[in-house]
Amino acid sequence: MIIDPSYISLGDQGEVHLQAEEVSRFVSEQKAFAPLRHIQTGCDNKGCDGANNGCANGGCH
Amino acid sequence: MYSDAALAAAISPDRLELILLPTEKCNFRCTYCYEDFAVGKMKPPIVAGIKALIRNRVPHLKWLSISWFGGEPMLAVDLVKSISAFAKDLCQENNVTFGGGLTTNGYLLEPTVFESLITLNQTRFQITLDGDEEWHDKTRVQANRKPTFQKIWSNLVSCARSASNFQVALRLHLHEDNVESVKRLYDLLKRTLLLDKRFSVNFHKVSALGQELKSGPRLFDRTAYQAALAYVQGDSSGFNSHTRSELELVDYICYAAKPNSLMIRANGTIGKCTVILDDPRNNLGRIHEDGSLDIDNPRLRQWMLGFLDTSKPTLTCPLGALPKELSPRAIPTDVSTII
Repeated sequence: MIIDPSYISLGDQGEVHLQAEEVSRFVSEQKAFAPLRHIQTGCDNKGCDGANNGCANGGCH
Repeated sequence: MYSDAALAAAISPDRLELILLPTEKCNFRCTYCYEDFAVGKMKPPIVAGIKALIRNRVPHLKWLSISWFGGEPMLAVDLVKSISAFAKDLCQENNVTFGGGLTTNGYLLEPTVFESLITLNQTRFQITLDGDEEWHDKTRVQANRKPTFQKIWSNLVSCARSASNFQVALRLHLHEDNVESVKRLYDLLKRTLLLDKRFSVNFHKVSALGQELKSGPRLFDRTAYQAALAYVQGDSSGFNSHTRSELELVDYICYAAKPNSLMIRANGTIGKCTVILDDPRNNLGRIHEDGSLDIDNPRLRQWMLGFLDTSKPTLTCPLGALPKELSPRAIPTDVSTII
């Protein structure tokens, strides 16, 4: 997925604005993004909440 | 090749990572450090602004992370606790996942304060060692030049006795002069702390960041570094999941490339990169006491150029591709009015 930074901005409350519909749709379709660190490490702990809280595998490495 | 999940997470409006510098003072004077320690502890209007920002954003988030940097963040641990507690409560009320951690030299990470940070969901700690006592105490010394290894090691051993859930990433610095010292330390770690899955090792070569090193260790080129890594790790079968270097990062996108990650310095300046703190290209605006931000979006976008072609070098370290010239700027850089 190519993402043009010109379609991304930050608002005065620190909120990210995705100004292209296809980019917004791409992000919303990635349901698995919360446990990112878990994805990065190839961990198979499906209960990971992405913040290393209560990880049954001892946390991301 | 980045996964769609990694790319989406990097730009998602549902996520926010704050990298906070509660003080830019440090109790160490590492011989290769790039910081000038000119900015002191974060003042109350900036703290109020950060809490207001969190209050404003949390109802719209699914995930909030706070990463504490410095200076040495443990010198301002009262602010670390105050802001973390505020964020934790708010996230619980709004069913938002909240976590965070500290990049600390480990010297002040004594058991009581360690446990108190964990109760505030600050469970990730990155602590750097420059080898065993022999070399660490040559390059990572206190401001008064006294040694630091034994105190840090004592704190680490105490951490290991904790029953809590946490992750300590030990960053082992390598340069041409400390290879044997790091090997001895790594062998010790394999027999001790690395038997505990809460501890891991990240090797990293010392670099001249934003300055020429006038003194200090001799630096590796990439080839020599790879050879040193192989030598130090030796036969490390069984420890692979605990150990890696910056050459092996998978799906890693630097926080500086992500629009949903902001660094807020102790003086309220907003930036992206924790290395070139005083480079004008890294000055994106400022935070106000009501939590609102002045943000220079054209300058912000220069940090996101890696998304154009999902270039790994640029997304891993956007600094390298940053234009030399400043983008046009619409807001003042002077933060004196809010300090």
